[in-house]
Amino acid sequence: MVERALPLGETLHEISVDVGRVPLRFPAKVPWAIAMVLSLMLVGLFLVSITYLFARGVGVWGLNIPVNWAFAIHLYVWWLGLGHAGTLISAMLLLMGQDWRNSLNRFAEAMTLCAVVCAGIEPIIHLGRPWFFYWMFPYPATMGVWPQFRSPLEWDIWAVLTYLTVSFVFWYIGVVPDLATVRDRARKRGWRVFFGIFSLGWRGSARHWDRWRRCYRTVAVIAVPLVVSVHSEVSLLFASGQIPGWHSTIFPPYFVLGAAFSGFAMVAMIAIVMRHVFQLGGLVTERHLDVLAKVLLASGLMTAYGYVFEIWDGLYSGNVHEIATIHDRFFGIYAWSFWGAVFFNFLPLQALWLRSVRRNTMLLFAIATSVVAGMWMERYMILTTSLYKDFLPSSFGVYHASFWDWSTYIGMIGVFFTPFLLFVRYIPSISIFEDKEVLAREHEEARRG
Amino acid sequence: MSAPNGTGRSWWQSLEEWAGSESFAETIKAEFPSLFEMARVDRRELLRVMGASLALAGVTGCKPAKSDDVVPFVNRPPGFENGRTDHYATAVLVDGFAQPVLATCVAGRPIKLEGNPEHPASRGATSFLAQAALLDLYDPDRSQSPLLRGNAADWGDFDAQMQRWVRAWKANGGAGLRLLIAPVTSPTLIDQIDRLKAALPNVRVHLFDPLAGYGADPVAQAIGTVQPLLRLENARAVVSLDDDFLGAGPAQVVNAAGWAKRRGDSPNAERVRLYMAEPTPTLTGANAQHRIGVAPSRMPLLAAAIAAELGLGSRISGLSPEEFGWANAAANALLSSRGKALLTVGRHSPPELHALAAIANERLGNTAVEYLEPVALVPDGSYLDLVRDIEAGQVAALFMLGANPAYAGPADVDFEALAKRVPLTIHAGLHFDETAAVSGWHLPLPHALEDWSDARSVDGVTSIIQPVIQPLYDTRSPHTLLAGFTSEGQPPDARGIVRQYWAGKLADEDAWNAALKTGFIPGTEAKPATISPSKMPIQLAKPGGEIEIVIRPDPTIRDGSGANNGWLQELPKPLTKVTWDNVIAISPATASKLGIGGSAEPSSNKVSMIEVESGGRSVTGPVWIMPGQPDGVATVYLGYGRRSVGRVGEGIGYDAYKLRTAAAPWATGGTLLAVPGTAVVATTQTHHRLEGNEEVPTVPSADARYPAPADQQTIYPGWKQGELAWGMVIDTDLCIGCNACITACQAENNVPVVGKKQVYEGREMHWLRVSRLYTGAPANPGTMFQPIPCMHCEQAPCEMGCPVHATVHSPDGLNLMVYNRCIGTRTCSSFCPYKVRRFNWFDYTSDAAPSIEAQRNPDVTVRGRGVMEKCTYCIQRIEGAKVQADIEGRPVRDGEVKTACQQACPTNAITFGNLADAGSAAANRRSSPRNYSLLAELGTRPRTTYLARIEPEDEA
Amino acid sequence: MAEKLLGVLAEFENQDRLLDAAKATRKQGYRRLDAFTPYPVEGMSEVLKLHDHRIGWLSVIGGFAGFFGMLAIQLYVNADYPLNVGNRPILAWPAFFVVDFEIMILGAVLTPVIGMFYLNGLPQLYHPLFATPRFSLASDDRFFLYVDSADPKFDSGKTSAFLKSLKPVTVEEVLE
Repeated sequence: MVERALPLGETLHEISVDVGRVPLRFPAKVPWAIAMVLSLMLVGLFLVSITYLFARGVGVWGLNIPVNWAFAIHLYVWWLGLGHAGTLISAMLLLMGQDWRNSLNRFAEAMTLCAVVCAGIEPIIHLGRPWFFYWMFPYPATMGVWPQFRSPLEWDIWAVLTYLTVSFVFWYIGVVPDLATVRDRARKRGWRVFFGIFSLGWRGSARHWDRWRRCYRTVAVIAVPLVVSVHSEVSLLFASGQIPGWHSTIFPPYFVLGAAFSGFAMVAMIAIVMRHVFQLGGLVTERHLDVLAKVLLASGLMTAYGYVFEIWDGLYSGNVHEIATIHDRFFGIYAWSFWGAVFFNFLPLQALWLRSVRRNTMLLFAIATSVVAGMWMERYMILTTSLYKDFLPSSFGVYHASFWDWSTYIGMIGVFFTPFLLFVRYIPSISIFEDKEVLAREHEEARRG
Repeated sequence: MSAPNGTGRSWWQSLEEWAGSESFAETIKAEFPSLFEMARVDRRELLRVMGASLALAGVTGCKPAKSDDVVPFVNRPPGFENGRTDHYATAVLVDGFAQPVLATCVAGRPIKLEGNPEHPASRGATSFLAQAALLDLYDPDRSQSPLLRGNAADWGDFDAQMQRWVRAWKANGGAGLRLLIAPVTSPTLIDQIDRLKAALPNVRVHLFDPLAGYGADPVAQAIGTVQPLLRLENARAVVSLDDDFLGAGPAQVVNAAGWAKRRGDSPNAERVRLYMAEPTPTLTGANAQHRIGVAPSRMPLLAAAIAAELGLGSRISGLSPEEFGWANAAANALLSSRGKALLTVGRHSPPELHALAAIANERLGNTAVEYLEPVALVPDGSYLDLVRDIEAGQVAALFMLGANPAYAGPADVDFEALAKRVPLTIHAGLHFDETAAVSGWHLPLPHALEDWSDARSVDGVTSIIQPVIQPLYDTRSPHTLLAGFTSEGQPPDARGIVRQYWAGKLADEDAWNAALKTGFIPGTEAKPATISPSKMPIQLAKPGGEIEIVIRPDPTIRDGSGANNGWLQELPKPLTKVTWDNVIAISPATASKLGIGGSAEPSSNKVSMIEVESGGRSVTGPVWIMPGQPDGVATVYLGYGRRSVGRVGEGIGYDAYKLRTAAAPWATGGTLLAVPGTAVVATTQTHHRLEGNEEVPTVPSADARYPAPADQQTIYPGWKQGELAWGMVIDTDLCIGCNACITACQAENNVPVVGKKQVYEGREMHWLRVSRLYTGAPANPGTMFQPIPCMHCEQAPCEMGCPVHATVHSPDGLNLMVYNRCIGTRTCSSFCPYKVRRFNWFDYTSDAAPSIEAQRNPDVTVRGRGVMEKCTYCIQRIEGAKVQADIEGRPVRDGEVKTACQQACPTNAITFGNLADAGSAAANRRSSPRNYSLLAELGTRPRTTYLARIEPEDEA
Repeated sequence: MAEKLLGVLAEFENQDRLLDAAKATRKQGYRRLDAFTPYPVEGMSEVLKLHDHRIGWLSVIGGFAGFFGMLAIQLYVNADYPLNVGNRPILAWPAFFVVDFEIMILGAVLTPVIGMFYLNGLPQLYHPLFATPRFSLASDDRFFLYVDSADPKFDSGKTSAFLKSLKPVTVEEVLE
């Protein structure tokens, strides 16, 4: 028999209630408060760190010549990678008419937003003179100088800004009808006003739905190539340099896949937590997790292919420096990051071949965590192993993350979770109307037998 | 291990590389250092290094000396003056010897020293010591007024007391009055001393020179009081027994120039062949074709063996096959190039070796060493004589001029106790140093650039030292001080004394002015002296103890006199590339015997500590596993562990004088003991295993072509090249690794001193690094040097990376760095294959003391926090030359623009000029068959290229 | 004052009945119809003959504007202050297209979205419909058919009667 995305037991109204109550009568006040407090503490740590950073200079990090990029840049790549899954899940699956998407896309998109914000902050605080970051934009400056459009950094700025805008718009037009639903369920006047304003007076008119749907699909269609282009450009930030270990044509696809991989893992983690905390088991079903796990496995294997090919690429080049870099990745002083990436990204992942594991929330969560950690190491590895020994031994040097490297990073995690927590608290975290659509269709099918 | 692809030989840089060993466990450990990292850069360190932020009165108010006194250098070197800089010919001192320089002065402040191009000895080059002398002038820690037992006093007090003593001395002929003087060559001062002794017959003058030992001068004992001067340009075969003639010292520039004449493009038949035997690696050993490292106690054996081969003695036994082979080859080389052969022995050697060398050279038809009449002061006695007399209670008054026996004296002489036994002790020096602290009076001396004097270079040519700045502090010249010993009433000022002395020697006022203009007095070369070498038996003595200890001056701060000079402290030692520290060098084998694994841990420069004990005294310092160090020999370096000198030099390193005895100042016996704990050592060339991917091209002869890879093709049309195309060519065959270029660049371009912590972090700011490369087995490797400035690539990867046009290309082919446009993305450095860019991680400049700011070059931007910087080819000089050319309505002449590094280089290894002009020297050198670009395969098209090192097949 | 009648609203409990009702109503010749549903109902657009293709075109226009707008900027700034960067040409098309592509996407997304809200007359925080008691269910689980009083065939009595014949849950009048 066909497996359904949603249990027939649910009725349209129940969905409104299940999801709609989340903002209105919040089920998990205590855990949420705890999480919020923790994440606010991290934000505090972040503020302290960047205050010190801005006061003293980027030297407070462990950077040096040659390793003058480390945490800020590798985390920029990492955060952006986490973000991509949101857009991908939403857009791609929408286009492929994957029903199971509906229970995940909303908070996946929100997760994207938060991650992109973090990703956007990193390259700005890493500047030597962050207060001049706007020099990257083409405005008529006193000296008449303009930005340099051949620079991959310049590309990134535009890519990230576009990506931020598009993911926000995509998320918002998706959420408007649900805001209307909550508006109509709300009892307290304050909530009515709040949701009334942000639902823009949505009435669910057939005319509106018609235009809305065309618009939503258009954005989805465009969002997919956007994701690919954005992370390809991120990879060009490295591939444009001639540094061994960077200067390779495989980088764009390799980066995009890795990004999606880590992103899906992140979505899985959050889905599991929310499902547990908000008792949304009826909506985020085992099937959702199962499909998610399959996607994770697939993208993981593709990333693994990327690893293999990158190494082969280096060896095949016959270039002594490329080979030396590969050697350093295997045995150098940052070998832990390479082997760590291989281990955390791929070994636990293989368990997902088993259906039982895919449907075991605990195990799936553990595996997803390991993937996120693995990708963190991979991005770190790509940066440091290439920079610390490039061509001339007289310039070789070693990088150690300083206390402030870590505090800035850990604080940034709070910058990620704080807005996300606010979102799950005050916005319908699962697409109400789309679930109704699916449910209706399933009833239909059920009736037709 | 040779490179997988490539034609050159593969070079390694440290022992991990060679051994290829790297324990995974320890790297993990090293990868997660404790949170001590937190306070990695503490501000105080920075302040200390910048010379502290003491406001200095006097500096801000400094004016040019009265114009009727000093006479500008008239034949100004073209190119680098644009209407507001003056150049004065004067000299700075190294060990009392003149280093003739032109001081570039702006608004009455000397901001840069260049070699005097007209001086016969230096020919315009300078050593790193001469370059760094400028910073000593501005040292905020210099002694600033007279002190009586450490309390403020003034010259009035001193003069008043002086009167009484002078009367007393007149009565007793200066009985009990002793002078302890650091080496001086000043004719005026020597004359004053002679007249002082004439006036007060009982005065005796003792020499204090820790760089020459404390007793009688072995050279004098062997062949009489003469000044040996090497003429390496005449030497085809050189055998050096521990004579580091290319190393730091007053003769470095002269020797290097002579050396260069027989390298570079000279045909193989003319090239110098150097056989070096040394107890510890030195610059000279690094440049030798046939080097052997032997324990000090073996040196006499080698000498005897060579003597035997030369027929100057009977055959001896007891040499190892390797030693015998080397001695044989060395002797044959000497014999096979009679008339062009040189046997030279280090000043550390006993008299009999000096005698042997003199005799041997005579036999070989010596042309390569001149024996000159003494240029420096010839003392009445040594420091040890003085000690003996003090102990005998014969010393009533001790006047110490620039001498620091309390720090730099032998460990078995307790100077502090001795000083107590002398009723009157007067110390005159630049700093309130260890000796000043135990003396009655401390009198501040002026810096050489502050007051009148004169001095002679190693060949005896005399320079008048004219001040180029009003004295910064309340100092008094040695001339005035000495005059004070005989004159009642106010002693005359230095100018008067010097002028008066020369009034007798020089024809007229014009001759005096001419001397001031050109910077030296023609015809003052030292006359040749006759020597009387008496053949002495060679003593073979093995010191007690399980290892032998070699004591040497530090390669940069030497006996410790440079300890408070930030430029010297941050200058990487030529071989170890260590900064801010002295290490204890031992051989790889000795290290493994002591169970000290590897060299520095590969992931950081934390190194294990080791204790060296000798005669009951011991020092503990960071161990350094030194390729080429003979087994069973530990080298300790003098100059560190200063207790009183200033904020920069105090309390860093260990004090090797603790192991130095009056009897054995250079080598002794003792024991090694690995002690727990590690030390952080800041090197600019970190220790890494290397997979043999580093290549330094070599060719068999000057006319052999190095098969450099062809330039990569590009699909881009490229920009039109203007009539100016600046480029640099560096001849790696001429480079001796002396580091003069680095200090010159630092002085010219306001490169900040960042301190040990920052260097340790890998944040040194030098725009130019001298890469040190080894080849062969670590027991006795081949060494070479490769200076690496910015390559000014025509197709620069860095420019592509910058999002804000902060680094772009100029029409004349410079890779520009626009500081005020830079936002610090550091993409340029990430993309730079040569990693020649430097970043201002913090604000390294604004904390500098006013006196340090006074030194800065107004033509060069002082970089602030958060911007990238790098070698500019001294663009300020280029622009200066262009302006001058425009004024005179002519194109810029070849050689008109000299970069700071090029101008300082004693071997002319660096050529800079317009490549578009086929006739230019640079274009010429670039067309040499030895020419190659670094990493040419990347298609960056560097404007800085290299000439391959020449390694002829051995003519055994 | 007497409130003006804007239209009549019929409530159904699932989308099929709504669709049938809509078809029937159109057969009756009513043209000014609208439906209010908790989610976009499959086939409703066909029944009510609402097809707005402008959204797609807006996206195309926005994309073009973005692409060529950005390209224009890049060409201008490089011509305005030409600098030799790594010996590369002033007009580095391959490099320029990267950013052009991004801005094309930005344009192609923003125009249809803004257009959609504009054409839908949103935001419009108040609408008479909200005053109708049961209308709030339109965002929950009920499906409404709406006949506007502006319809030529509209007659309050007849229209309501006709709608009632379609067996709705309720029929309400929407007043201003």
